[in-house]
Amino acid sequence: MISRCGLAALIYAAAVLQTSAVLTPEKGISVCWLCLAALLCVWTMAAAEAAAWGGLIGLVGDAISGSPMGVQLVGMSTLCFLLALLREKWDCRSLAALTLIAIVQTAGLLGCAALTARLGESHPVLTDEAYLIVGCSTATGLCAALVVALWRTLRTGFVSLVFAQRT
Amino acid sequence: MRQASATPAAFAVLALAWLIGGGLWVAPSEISDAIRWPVRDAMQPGQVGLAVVVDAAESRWTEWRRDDQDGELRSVEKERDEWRDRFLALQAAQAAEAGEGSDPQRLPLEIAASPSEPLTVPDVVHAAVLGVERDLLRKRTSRLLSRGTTDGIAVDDIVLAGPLPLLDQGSDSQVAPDMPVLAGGCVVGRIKLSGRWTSTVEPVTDPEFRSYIRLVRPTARGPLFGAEGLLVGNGDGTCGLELIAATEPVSVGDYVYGRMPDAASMAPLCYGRVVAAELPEGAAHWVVTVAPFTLLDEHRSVQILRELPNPVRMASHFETP
Repeated sequence: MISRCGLAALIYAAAVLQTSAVLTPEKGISVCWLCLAALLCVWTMAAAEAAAWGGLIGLVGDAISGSPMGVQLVGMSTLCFLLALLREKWDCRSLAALTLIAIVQTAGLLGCAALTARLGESHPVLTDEAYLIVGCSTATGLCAALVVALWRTLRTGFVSLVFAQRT
Repeated sequence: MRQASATPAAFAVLALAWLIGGGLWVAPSEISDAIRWPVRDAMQPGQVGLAVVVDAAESRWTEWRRDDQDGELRSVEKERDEWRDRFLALQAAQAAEAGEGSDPQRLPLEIAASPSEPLTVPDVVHAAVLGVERDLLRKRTSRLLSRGTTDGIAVDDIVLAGPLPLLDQGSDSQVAPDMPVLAGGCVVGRIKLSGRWTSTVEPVTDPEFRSYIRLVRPTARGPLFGAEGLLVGNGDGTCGLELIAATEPVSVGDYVYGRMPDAASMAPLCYGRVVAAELPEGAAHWVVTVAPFTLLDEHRSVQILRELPNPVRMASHFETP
């Protein structure tokens, strides 16, 4: 499993990608890199630890975004906690489950942030933001699936190579 | 189904997260900013590094694309050269066949043809280049004229007006405008104005010089006649070719000759050689640069090619009763 230092570096890299104009456009559909980092916690840790790392990722997300502080912290830690519980309960290991969890997690976090931003308005209209949230969630889920599929393929190829050399 | 790890510690972590989040939510902006700005500042080194990596990747990608395009261009150029060589070979074969067909010895002509004399014959008169410095020439000429009998001769009769170089032969030597001026067997210009005693010559590199030419390509099977065009002086010691269609083959090294000789001329006159040939994208004509074999400035004496009545024909005319 990934070490804590490695995970911290990964969160930093995700935050850099999230704030970079090169890979993450200011408007439009984009991958939520912090959600991918949180997905790693959900996928590899117990609920308590996932909630703690989720809180840290949410805090970073609060800091680099324009939303009020604390919203993503609460949202991400709760999502990581619940999704880690679900993952443990149903013993999800398939690629489809991973994609679904990534989509739910991203949609939950972005929806939470959008709702919080519109709390003060008398007639909040979320139609455009809903489309954007669906798009970002799907992009993040597909990106997670791609990364994991690539990782599994490479690992399988490496193991086969080592096995072939030994025999 | 496995037992979920919903332990009291996990709920405690979650409660702590909610507590911190709620605290930050209601905290004054000073506290929020104390967290927000250090985190944002910490992103800067990573963003700089990412920008460097992205720039390097973009430049690599651009170089790779350029290399790929260069390779494709080389391939197309090679294919073009192959087709040109094939075209030249076919042209040479066709010219050889045409030459064999027109050989008079192969014609089934049983009547013996009698030789005939042309109406005019080419003749060359030598002329000295007097130069372009009119003031010097006027001074020299006036000094000469003052020594002997100068009745009826003015300085302006000898030193013609204009910026072009002067030759010391004029209409009294049957020199007329548009006659070619040769040096070493190559054309260096043509007579522009002809006075009684002197004449001016327009060099081939003069911007106003125009002459119809034909490209001649030396091959292993002999010279091949190529496209016809217009030779134009560039004014910088070189000439250009105009009106050569893009469909015609042009190569660096092709010779530039005057258009084919008519009955009076003895042979096509040589101008120079193609030193650059470029076909701009979408252009209908070639852009060709020609270097003359020799320039008028390099010579102190030249030859003027004249066309005179054939004395044999003239004599027979006077002998006929």
